[in-house]
Amino acid sequence: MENLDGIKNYEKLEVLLLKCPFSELSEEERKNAMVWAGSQENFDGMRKLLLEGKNVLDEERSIVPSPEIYKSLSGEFSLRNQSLKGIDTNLNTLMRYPVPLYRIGIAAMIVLGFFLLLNQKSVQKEELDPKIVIRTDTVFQVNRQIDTVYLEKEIVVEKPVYVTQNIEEEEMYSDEFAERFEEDPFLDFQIQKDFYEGTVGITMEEDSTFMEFQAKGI
Amino acid sequence: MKRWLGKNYRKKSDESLMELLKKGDKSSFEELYKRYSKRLLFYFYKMLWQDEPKSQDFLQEIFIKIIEKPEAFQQGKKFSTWIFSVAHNMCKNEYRRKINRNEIALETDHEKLWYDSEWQFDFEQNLFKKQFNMALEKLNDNQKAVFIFRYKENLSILEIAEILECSEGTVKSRLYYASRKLAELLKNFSPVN
Repeated sequence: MENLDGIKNYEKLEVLLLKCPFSELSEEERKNAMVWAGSQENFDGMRKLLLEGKNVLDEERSIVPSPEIYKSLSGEFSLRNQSLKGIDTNLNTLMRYPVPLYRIGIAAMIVLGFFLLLNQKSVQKEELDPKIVIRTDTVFQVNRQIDTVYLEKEIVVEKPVYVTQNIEEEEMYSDEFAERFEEDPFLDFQIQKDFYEGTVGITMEEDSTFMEFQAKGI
Repeated sequence: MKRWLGKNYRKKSDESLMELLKKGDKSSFEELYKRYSKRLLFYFYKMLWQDEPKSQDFLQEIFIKIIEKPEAFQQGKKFSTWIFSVAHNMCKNEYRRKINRNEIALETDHEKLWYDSEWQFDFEQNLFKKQFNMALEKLNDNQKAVFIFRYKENLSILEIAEILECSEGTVKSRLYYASRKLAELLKNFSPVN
């Protein structure tokens, strides 16, 4: 059954099979047919099959698709493509819908009215808007240079302040001192004298010196 | 308007109809259905043990596939080749399913019994059709498919190879053995002149 030549040259064999019976083939064709089909009997059998079988296949038209299938598929297709076709369908429906002329007229007037109103508003708005005109001009740029800078400087100098014990002086003019002064007016003179001569009270320097002497035991 | 469009669609190629279908054009779907529904139904009928209800189901299923995933058809391919390859794959899946359930073996046994008892009749010309169909059922699915594609759909060897995703040599081989086997089964007929 294995016939590699027959397989390789099947298209050529097919041409011979459909052309004419084995007996009507030329010598060369017969040789080829014998090689490719294996024998004359096989050739005739295959020829019969192809001719009759092809007719059977072509004539077999008894099966027709069920109309239900198309209905179902059509519905499925419409459902799937609803979003795509939606706008188109709506427009078609609108076109088919009978609308009285007066309604169309009213609708047109409303639309026109809106259009005019909007247009007027936009004109008014245009008038109110400030107009900005951009012009090119020469600009002089003044460069002022700073000549002298006055800076305020605050200088803080620390000075030693020696507080003297003047409390006693104040005390001298206290009520008690006044009483005494009234009793003895010379007291005031003595005190003033002592004060000016520097016998009363000591400065801080004197005090520190005094402290130094005390420490040294002098 | 619709009639005019219809005429226009009839002139369009399968491929351009498919492109329109992708955009949601219903008329293109109608036209493709008209062109292919009978052909596909016949193919399913022959491939699925001449089971008509099953073939109708398969026909519906294949068109649902087209509706649901039209983008599966790639531009530049031939529509007939593509649609028959989808149909062939559906049949192959059905064979696998049947083999898993051991249904094919039972059918074959049943046919074998029938063959043994009735095949010996002298074939009349009017019975040839019936006997041919039964002989066709004796072929394996690949041989049957190539035979139908070649002699029913008149497809070229190359187109069949594309549909079945095999080499041209394989198609030739299958055609050769299918023809020889059928001729053998129908040898009791006197050859035509």
